[in-house]
Amino acid sequence: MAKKAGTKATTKAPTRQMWKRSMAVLAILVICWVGVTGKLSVIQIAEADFWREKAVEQQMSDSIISPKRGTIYDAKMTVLAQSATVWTVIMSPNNIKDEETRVKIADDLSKLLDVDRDKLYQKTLKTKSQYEIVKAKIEYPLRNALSQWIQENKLVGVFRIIEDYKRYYPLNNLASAVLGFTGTDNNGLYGLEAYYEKTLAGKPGRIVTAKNGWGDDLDIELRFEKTIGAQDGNSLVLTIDSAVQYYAEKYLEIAVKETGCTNRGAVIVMDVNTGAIIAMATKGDFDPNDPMTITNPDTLAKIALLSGDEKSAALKKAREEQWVNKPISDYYDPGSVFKTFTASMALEEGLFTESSHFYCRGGLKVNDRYIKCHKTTGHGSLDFAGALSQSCNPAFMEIGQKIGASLFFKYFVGFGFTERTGIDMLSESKVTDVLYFSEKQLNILNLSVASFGQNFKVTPIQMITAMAAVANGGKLMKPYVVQQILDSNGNVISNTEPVVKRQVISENTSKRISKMLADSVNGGGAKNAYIPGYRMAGKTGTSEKTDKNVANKTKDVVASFAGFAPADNPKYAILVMLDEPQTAIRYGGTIAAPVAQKIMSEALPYLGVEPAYTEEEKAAMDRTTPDVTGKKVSVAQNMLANSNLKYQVVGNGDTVLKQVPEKGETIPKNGTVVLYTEEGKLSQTTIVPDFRGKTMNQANIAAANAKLNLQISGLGINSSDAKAESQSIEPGKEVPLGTVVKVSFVYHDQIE
Amino acid sequence: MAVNRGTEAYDLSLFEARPAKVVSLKANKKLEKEQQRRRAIQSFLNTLATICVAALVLVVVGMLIVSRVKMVELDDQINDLQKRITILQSEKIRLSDELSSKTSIKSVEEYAHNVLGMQKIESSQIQYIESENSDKAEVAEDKNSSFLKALGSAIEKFFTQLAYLFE
Repeated sequence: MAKKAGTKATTKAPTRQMWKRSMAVLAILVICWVGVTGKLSVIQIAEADFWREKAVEQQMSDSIISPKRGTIYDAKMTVLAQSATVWTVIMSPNNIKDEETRVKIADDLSKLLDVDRDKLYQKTLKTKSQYEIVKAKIEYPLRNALSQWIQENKLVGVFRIIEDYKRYYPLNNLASAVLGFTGTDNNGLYGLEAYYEKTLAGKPGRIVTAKNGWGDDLDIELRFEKTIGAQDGNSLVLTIDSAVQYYAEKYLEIAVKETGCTNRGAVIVMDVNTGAIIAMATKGDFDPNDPMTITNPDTLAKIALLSGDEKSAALKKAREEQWVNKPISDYYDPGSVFKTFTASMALEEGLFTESSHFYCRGGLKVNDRYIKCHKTTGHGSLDFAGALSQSCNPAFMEIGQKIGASLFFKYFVGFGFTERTGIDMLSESKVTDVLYFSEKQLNILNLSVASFGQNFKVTPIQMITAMAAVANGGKLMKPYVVQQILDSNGNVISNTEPVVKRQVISENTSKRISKMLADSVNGGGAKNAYIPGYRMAGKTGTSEKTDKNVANKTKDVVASFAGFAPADNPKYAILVMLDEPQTAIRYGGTIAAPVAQKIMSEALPYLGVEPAYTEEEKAAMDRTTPDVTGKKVSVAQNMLANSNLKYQVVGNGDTVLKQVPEKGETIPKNGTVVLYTEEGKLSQTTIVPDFRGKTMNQANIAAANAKLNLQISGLGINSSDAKAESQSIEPGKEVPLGTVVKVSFVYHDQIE
Repeated sequence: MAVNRGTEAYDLSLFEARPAKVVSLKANKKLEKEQQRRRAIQSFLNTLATICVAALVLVVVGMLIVSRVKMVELDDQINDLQKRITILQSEKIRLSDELSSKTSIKSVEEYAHNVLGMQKIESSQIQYIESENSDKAEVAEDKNSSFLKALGSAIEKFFTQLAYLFE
């Protein structure tokens, strides 16, 4: 019976409802299977990389090894910028237990780390935070002191000291605008630091470690750790020589201060044969160790009067202005310096010769407009060289008109005034046709004005590159500041070779213009740049800032000088630019040329350029005082006479007990040595007169009356119209008779 | 004991458990002693082996622990030394930076001028020496050998010309 029932039960066909249920379950299973398979396909195929990365992220811990940033050296391998490990102090306020500890931290650390006490205290109150930076980039001695303090106060859980890098600029402000600086994350933000970021930064390394599910290290048998070492950054060797850079900055800073330049000043020194930049200075500048601090006291005083957003905006603007590398980023009207290039075009095309004749009546009428010469009474009759030397505007308008728009523009392009120079530096200004007259725009009026350097703009780097082309035989060079790139082991991986962009003028024209520019320094408008023995050549310029003056109703100018030396075998070119000087006399020849003279008179001997004195220069050269102390008066008198020196005997003794100037001191030719022969009369003194503003004759008389020796500097052979600008001993000071006072003379010719 | 009272063909009682028959055996004392001795030796050997294995395991584990401790110590030492190197390098750069600032041309010039009262060399302090435009050198004539040399060269010339004629 049971068997029957069982047979009946097993043979019973599924009901329709059962079929439906089965099908429904199957359908659900199929849908699930399709869903799971689909998702698996997406994960395994379509998003494989993403999930692989996620898995690796979960299983592996990855820490970055920071590379050491490359060093920047000058041409003599003096370090200009280098990186070293420093430390950043991190605080975990949520580990601070009580108010007493908070107060102690604020009190002690504000003194130890030189941070604001109240701000630090506010940070300690952020009890939910585990990461508050107390002070970034502290050095080892301070780190040591801090570690000790943490141990003593049992605050190990509250503070962490983590490694970081700091960029050091050992020579502070020197070449700061060229070097730029790095940010808090050690990335280059400005200057060469930014331009060569990829070269200097290096490549970070990694330490990859396997982790368990809790994020801890695996057992030692399973431990996996792979270190990919950081690749330290490459180093740069610059063409800049820190000594020449120092000379340039020293005298530029003095000039900017003395002339009250409101828009800073710039100097560039270039090797004319290679295009290598030897010095590139901007004043005012900044300290790259602390680039956020405004260095100009006037600007700081103005900002201090502001508040809120206005103050922040002013601070930002002031910072950005002081970081600008003026020699490559600022435009200016070149003024009369440009006459060098107009003259070069004229000689190259054979339109004029050195003996071509001009007559200046003080101005020239062009298209119903009367354009004045800087000498409104007129230069009168001039030859070509005289027109350049005296910087005569009407003569150059005539020259420009004869050259014509087409040729003028051809040479304008040739000298590189319509393009960037391509110097390997950040933020070289873009050159667009808004800045200059295109060939079509060069109508007779524009051509006439452009011929003497007005109404168009160039950058200082364009100007010195063009001047170097005039000096070096007509080759336009590509300027550069990085000579070599070294790897982290000091091996040279690239070396910059000079690049000649094109031949602009012939060697013959170059020599003829060089001679004219040398004459301009020897007795023309640029005679304040004269250096005995070095045959300087150059041209001064004083350009009006026309666009700004019209807009602001001001009378601002740019005073400049561009030249090179030695004139017969040019090696180094110099450009000095003083932007918006505020002195009464602000001609390029009066305020910019002396700066070039001072810089080059120190830089040329340093750079190994030997002086070659003419007979005239040798005859006018100062003497060295012979040693006559202890000798009989008659013997001393003979010795001094043989050295072309005068003498004055004080006392009735027969032996020289003391002499002024002392042995070895410089004394002018025909100077007087005071010989003291009596013990009681050894301290005879005189008062130093005020020589400033006097001509050389007047100064000589004043010195003779005061029984002093006058040592003259800054004068050429013809020096009758120069006036004393400064003296080595303050007026009114009491000094021994015969003391040598060094007086600097400057010509005050009103030549642009 | 089960009694066969039924009529079944099978006497199941035969399969019931019966008490074991006790047979008294004669003890072999010698054999027993030998076995005891063997057991004692075996036991001793077992214990010794266990101790040895345990000791070996202990030594191996100990060595592993020591080596791990040593490794950790060496890791720490390396880390410490690396930190020290980093610190010293940092200090070297900081101090050289300070030195560079103090010995920069600006500082040296200011110190020389303001503190030591020195002044830059003037052109008047340089003595220039006049020299002729081009260098000249006088070479002494070797008088002893000049006659012999001339004779030698004449003979050489003669034979050269002779060889040329017969060629």
